[in-house]
Amino acid sequence: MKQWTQREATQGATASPDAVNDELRAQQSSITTLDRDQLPDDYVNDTRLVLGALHHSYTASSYPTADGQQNTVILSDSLAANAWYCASHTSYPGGWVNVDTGTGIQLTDWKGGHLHFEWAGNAFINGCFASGANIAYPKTPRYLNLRITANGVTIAEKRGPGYHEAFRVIASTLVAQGPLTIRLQWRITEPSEDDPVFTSGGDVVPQAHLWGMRYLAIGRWR
Amino acid sequence: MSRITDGPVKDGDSLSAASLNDRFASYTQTDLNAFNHRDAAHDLPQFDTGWLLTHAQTVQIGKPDWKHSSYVTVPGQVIMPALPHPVEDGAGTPTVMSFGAGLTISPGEVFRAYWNLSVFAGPGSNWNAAGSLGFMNFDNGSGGTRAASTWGAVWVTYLQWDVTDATLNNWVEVQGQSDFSTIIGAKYGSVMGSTEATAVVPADLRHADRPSQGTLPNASVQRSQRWRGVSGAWYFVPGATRTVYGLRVVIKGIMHPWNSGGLNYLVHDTAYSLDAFLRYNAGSLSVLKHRVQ
Repeated sequence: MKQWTQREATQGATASPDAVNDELRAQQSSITTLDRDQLPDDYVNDTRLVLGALHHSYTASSYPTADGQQNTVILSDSLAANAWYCASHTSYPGGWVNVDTGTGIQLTDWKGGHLHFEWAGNAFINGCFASGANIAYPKTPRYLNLRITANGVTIAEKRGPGYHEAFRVIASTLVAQGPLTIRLQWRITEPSEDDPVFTSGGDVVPQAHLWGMRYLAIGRWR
Repeated sequence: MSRITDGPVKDGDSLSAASLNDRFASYTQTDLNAFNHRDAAHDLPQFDTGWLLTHAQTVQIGKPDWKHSSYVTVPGQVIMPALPHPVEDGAGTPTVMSFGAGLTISPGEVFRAYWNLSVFAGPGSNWNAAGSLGFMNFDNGSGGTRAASTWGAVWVTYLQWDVTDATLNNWVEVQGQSDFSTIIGAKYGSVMGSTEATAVVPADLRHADRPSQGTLPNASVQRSQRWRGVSGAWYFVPGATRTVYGLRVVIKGIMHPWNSGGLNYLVHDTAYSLDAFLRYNAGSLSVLKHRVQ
């Protein structure tokens, strides 16, 4: 504990205003500079801190909110019953695509600090035609690439599922204080010259789909 | 910053023991707050225990066998509606997470569940049988057609909880999760919006052999995925306080994509499932519960 003593009282001495004020100011100084060496153990708890003082968690059990499946690049061609309304080679524009047409995930009251972000879900990718006869090795491997961006900057990227399987992408980074928009994006490999794009019945071949998606974000300030 | 509003002692003030003690009392702090300690003053000793992360628990699920010399087998489900297979220890006892007298989750808390399992999918031989959803037909380049896999067939793993009592005899799907038994025309399955606690495993690995210029001149090739893992996560913030007594992982399959009335579904494929199976060994189920803020 820090201690300051400006004066020492002696028996029979006359007390002047300064004799008292200096001593009180010294003690005030001691209080205003309380630091981690002086604070008592175990005093930080949920009754002493305001909400959001240390961290803030953001979750969605279903994202996009409507039904947890991507709502961008949905095919509009003739579709067989045993297929999903999803991305196909006839509808995919190339490049990274948001999973949601909305404004992205807004992490409100972002005070700046460490961001932990988990994006979980399931992904369908059709790799049936990856081994084309006219394509040199390594052929055209099919992965559903996934990435997370924070204010437009990629903070996690994953090669992604190669089958119809569950996935989880985790980002961990520092983000400055201010408005924070998270976007979840996907990308697929374009078809080779050997890929059938339609079935013999004229139905389009489903290529990729993200579904059952949810996320967890935790901001830890400072 | 501390705030003390008493004025200083002035010349001519009458100073008594009582008035002097009052002034000293002004400097006595009754609480520690944002005014009297600086930012970032907290260090580990100052944090009380157990109020930020309010619960953490892990259990092993399934049948431990590192070499997969013995395992649990789930046969493909062909009788509808089908009950889910609870992940068990190989002796018929489900491996569940028990919360004893109950774990309370308040609206100000996040409940996070993570599970994983070592699995091996056997596709059987009915991927292109009549009634199976697992194939589409393509031009074979010689005036005929040839079937190719859709790559859509999966086994589903998902969470159930007991929110009734500690007997753990009242398992139901966790909030936002379907039991895949909704009737969709002639199928049983779930709409996509009710799969919040689902993680899927591919049921098959069959690819076209040297497709050429959009045709399939050769028969497709079956490959084995061998043993692999499945890993799922579920995030839950209740609207009102919930008490949970147990949590477990269950399995269903084979399921396949389906659409009807403009909506996507994941439905049971009973034809594909006829001689298919899913083997599994061990995994883990972990939960965390912490304050939202």
